Amino acid sequence: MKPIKSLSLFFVMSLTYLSCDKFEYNHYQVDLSEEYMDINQQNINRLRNSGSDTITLALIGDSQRFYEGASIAVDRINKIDNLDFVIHTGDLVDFGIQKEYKLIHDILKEIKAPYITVIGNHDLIGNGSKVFREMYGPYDFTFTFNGYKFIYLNTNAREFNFSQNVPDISWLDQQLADTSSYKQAIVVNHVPYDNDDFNPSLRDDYFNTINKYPNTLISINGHNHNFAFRPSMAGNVPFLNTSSPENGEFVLLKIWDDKFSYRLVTN
Amino acid sequence: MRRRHYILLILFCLSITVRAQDSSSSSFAKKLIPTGAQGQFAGNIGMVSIGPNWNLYKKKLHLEYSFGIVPENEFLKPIYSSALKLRFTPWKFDIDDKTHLYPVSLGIGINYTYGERYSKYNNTSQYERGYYWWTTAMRFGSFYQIEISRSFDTEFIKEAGLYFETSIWDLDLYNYSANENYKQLSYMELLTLGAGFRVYF
Repeated sequence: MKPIKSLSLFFVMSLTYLSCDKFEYNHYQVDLSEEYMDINQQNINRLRNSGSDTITLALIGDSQRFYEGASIAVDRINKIDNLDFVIHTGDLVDFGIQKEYKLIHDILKEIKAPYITVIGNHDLIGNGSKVFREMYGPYDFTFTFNGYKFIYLNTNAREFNFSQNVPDISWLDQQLADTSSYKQAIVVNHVPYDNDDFNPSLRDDYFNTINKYPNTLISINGHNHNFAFRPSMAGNVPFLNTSSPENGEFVLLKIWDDKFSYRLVTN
Repeated sequence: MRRRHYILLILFCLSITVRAQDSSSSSFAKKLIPTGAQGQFAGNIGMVSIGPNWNLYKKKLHLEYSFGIVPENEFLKPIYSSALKLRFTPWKFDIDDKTHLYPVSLGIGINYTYGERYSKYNNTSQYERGYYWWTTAMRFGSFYQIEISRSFDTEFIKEAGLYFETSIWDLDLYNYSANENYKQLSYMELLTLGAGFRVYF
């Protein structure tokens, strides 16, 4: 019986030695622990006014399937002086599975400054919609920093089969309408308004709404994986598209008064 | 969708009954009769999964069907899935008269998760073909198992074993290997573990 005993021992040891979360049930399972919940609100609570007139932000997006690149970007972002916070423009993950969400958060949480994320289309796949809601919170939300209002808006219309509520234009209008409550507004979303994945029947409404009020500074998007800036035309709100961190790149954005400057950081 | 599961379960039970009662079935019908069954914990085919298996070639090649379930929790309703596995077990060692070791079983598997939220990406009115390049409801994996078993002198169960499984699934392999992610991620991110029992009729 000796060999059986030693084999059984080997069996039991290997079971206990290997960490239990490797016993995965299904790629689409959702069973989050407390440390992975409500990250956006927790990070908003961490925001501290530096006292400077200039806000310094790092913008990343589309970190899906670029764990190594995201990690390089995090190291670079941590070298920025006086960084206030990081905006992630969505597509944290590629397949919408919880395991990816945890992996990318474990990388992004190493950023010394808080990071605050808008939802992307890949984040919604399968039970990703559920995971995002638990891990990051609502799809549409706002916060104010140093008098600047940041409006995060879900524009992933295709994932909602082009429902008339995505993007929620009336909600966006409400957030912008009380112009006395903010100096400038910054609208953050994943799918840019001129993309095929934006709701075609709401395209003009979106454009008109962000241009309806005088103090909307910029619209920041992701989705295209390529850095691009479209300057203001005839007084309209300019657009900035973030890069994916494929090679560790990100965009450095500084905002003061009603002005801003930007730079793509590639090394 | 659930009806399909009940049908599969009934067929499984029926086939066992047939086996128990009628030993003079035609040879074709005999081939459909399971030659074993297995139950498994984890391994990406459900928290628990259970189903019949068939000996395809000299007890070295087996086909396994498993119906898996991840029970409801505070986040999600239950997840139901079906898995098919092809398992190659080249060696069997006798530790003593009744105890056996299968040191290596290698195989490939497919797991299909039921539900509209996993399959809607095939709807071409919402998504162009290939908008998402991977199959969202179906996962492809490969696995390694080690098993110890014991023979029994009963009519119904001839042998029963316990096995331990390590598997690698397509999306995990992609995440690990694409874009130099292996520099950042631990190789453990590739692996999924499971454990189970198996009976041989």
